[in-house]
Amino acid sequence: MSAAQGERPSLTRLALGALGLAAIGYGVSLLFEKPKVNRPFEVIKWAIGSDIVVDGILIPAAIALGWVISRTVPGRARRYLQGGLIAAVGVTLVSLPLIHRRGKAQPGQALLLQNYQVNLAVLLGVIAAGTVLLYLWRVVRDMREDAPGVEPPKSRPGR
Amino acid sequence: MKLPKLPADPPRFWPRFSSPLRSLALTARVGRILGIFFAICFVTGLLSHYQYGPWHWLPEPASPAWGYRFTQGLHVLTGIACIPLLLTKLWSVYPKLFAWPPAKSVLNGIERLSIAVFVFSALLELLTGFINILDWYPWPWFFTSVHYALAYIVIGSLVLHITVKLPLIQEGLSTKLTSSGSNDEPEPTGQAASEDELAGLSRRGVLTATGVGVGVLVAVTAGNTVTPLRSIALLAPRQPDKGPLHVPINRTAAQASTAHANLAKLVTADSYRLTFMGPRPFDLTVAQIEALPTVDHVIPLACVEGWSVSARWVGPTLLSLVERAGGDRSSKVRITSIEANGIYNNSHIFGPQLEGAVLATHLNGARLTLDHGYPVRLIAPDRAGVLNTKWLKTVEIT
Repeated sequence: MSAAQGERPSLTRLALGALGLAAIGYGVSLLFEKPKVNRPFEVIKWAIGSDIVVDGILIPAAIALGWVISRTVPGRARRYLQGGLIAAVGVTLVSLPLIHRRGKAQPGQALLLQNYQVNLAVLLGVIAAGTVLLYLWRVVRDMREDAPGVEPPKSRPGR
Repeated sequence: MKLPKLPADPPRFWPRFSSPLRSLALTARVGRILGIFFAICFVTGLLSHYQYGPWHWLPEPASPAWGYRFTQGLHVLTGIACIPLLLTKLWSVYPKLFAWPPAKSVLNGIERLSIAVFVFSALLELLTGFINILDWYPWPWFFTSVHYALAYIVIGSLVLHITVKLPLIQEGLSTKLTSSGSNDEPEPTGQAASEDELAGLSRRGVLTATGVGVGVLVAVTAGNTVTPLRSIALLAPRQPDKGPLHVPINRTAAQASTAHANLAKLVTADSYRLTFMGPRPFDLTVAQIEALPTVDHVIPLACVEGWSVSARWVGPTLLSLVERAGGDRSSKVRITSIEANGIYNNSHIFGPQLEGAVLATHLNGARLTLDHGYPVRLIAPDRAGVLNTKWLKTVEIT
C-alpha cells in the first residue's frame, strides 16, 4: 500500500480536483449546448467505439503477440524484436488513414499526394534495419566480452 | 452506500496478466511525458481557438509573424506524438482494467469512471484530430466545436486523474525502473521480474523504444510545417511546396462555388467590385486594385490543420484602404468573401493584425490563382489560415 494512501488530501489537491471536475463539466456543457450540431450521443458512441478498438483489439493483440514472442524467440533477440515492434506501432497506426484516404483530396490541395504504402514500408524497413544492427552490435559486444547473452529457460509467459 | 458483495477471487474466465514490464515506475514515467504533451496540446489549442474570436481589448498580436505557425504546428505534432504514448500508457495499466472487484467502494467506482472518461475522450480527441488534418470528416457532428468541448473533458479528466493518483505518481517516479515497484493493489504486474523475463525487453527498453517510435513519427510528419524536415516527411499529409505557387489550398474555388454562385464567373466578371464600407465608402475594380501602391511582405500561411509555408505576398496594405474609407488603425474591420455558404466566408481583423495585413494580389511572384483567392485576398501575420479570407467582396469598418 502506498505510504500516502489514507492521508487527508491537501488543499492544493482538492483545488486541483475541483478544477478538473469544473473543466469536465464545462466540456460536457459545451458538448450538449448545440445537440443538433455537436450530436453528443454520436460522440459518446464514437468514444466507446474508439476504446473498444484500443482496449478490446489493439492492446490484447499486442499482449498476445508478446506472449507468442516470449515463447518462441530467445531472450537476447527477443529484447530487440520487442523494442523494434514497439517503435513501429506509431508509424503503422498513423499511416493507415493516410493510405485509406490517398487520392481522395481535391486537386491543388497538395494533400495526401504521397504513396503512403511505400513510405510505411520504407519506415518499417528502416526501423527493422536499425533493430537488427543494434542486435548484431550486442552480439559482437557479448562475443568480445566473452559473455554471451543469457538465454533464459522458457518457463513463464511474459511479454 | 454499499456495493453488492462479490466473491473474493475473480471468476475463472477473468483475464490474468504476468508481464513484469508493466509497473508503477514505467506507468508514471510514460504518464509524465503524456501529461506534458497533453498540456502543450491543450494550451496551443486554446491559442488557436482564440484566433477565431479575440476580445476587442485583447487583439491577436501580429508579431512574430510565425507565431501561429509555431503554436499550431506544435499543437498537431504533440497530438500525433500522444497517439503512441497513450497506447503505451494504456498497455502499461491494462491489468487494472480487470481489477477485482471492479469497484471496491462507491468512491473507487467513481474514480474508475473518471479514468474511463479520460480514456474515452482522449482516444476520440486524438483519433478525430488526426483524421481532421486529412480533411476527412466521417462523423455526423461539427468537428471544431466537438474538438473544443472534448479538449476540456480530456484536460479536466487528466487533471482529476493526476490529482487522485498523485501519491502513486510520486511513488512511481521515485522508484527505479529496475526495482519491483510497489502498488496499492498487489498483483502479478507488481512483482519482481525474474531473471528469465529480464532476458527480454526491460522496462527501460520499453521507454526507449516508445521514445524512438515517437521520435520517428514526429520526424516523418513534422515536414508539414518544419521546412528542413520536408525531405523526410514520409507520413506528412501535406507537402506545402507542392501546392500551386508553392502554397497548398485548403478550400478550392470549386468547393466554394454553389449552383447559383460560380466563383470563377463572379470574380472574373466586368461587374466585379471590391467595396469598402465606412464613413467614406468607395468601390475598386480589379484594374484599380492592381494600380494601387503595394508592399512586398513575407508572411507564413499557417493552417489550423498544422501545415504551414512561408510565402511572399504583394498588394496594397489593408490599413491604407481602411484609412481612405474613413477608418484608422483602431478600427475593427469585417472582411467578406464572394463565397456564399462557407462558414469562413468572412472574418474580423483589428489591432496589430490590421496594421500588418495585406490585400494580396500576387503570391510568390505570380498573380493570385483562382484557388488562392483571385482577384484579391487577405493575408496577415500570425493569423490562422482560414481567417485570411479569399475572393474578397467587401471591407467594412464596423
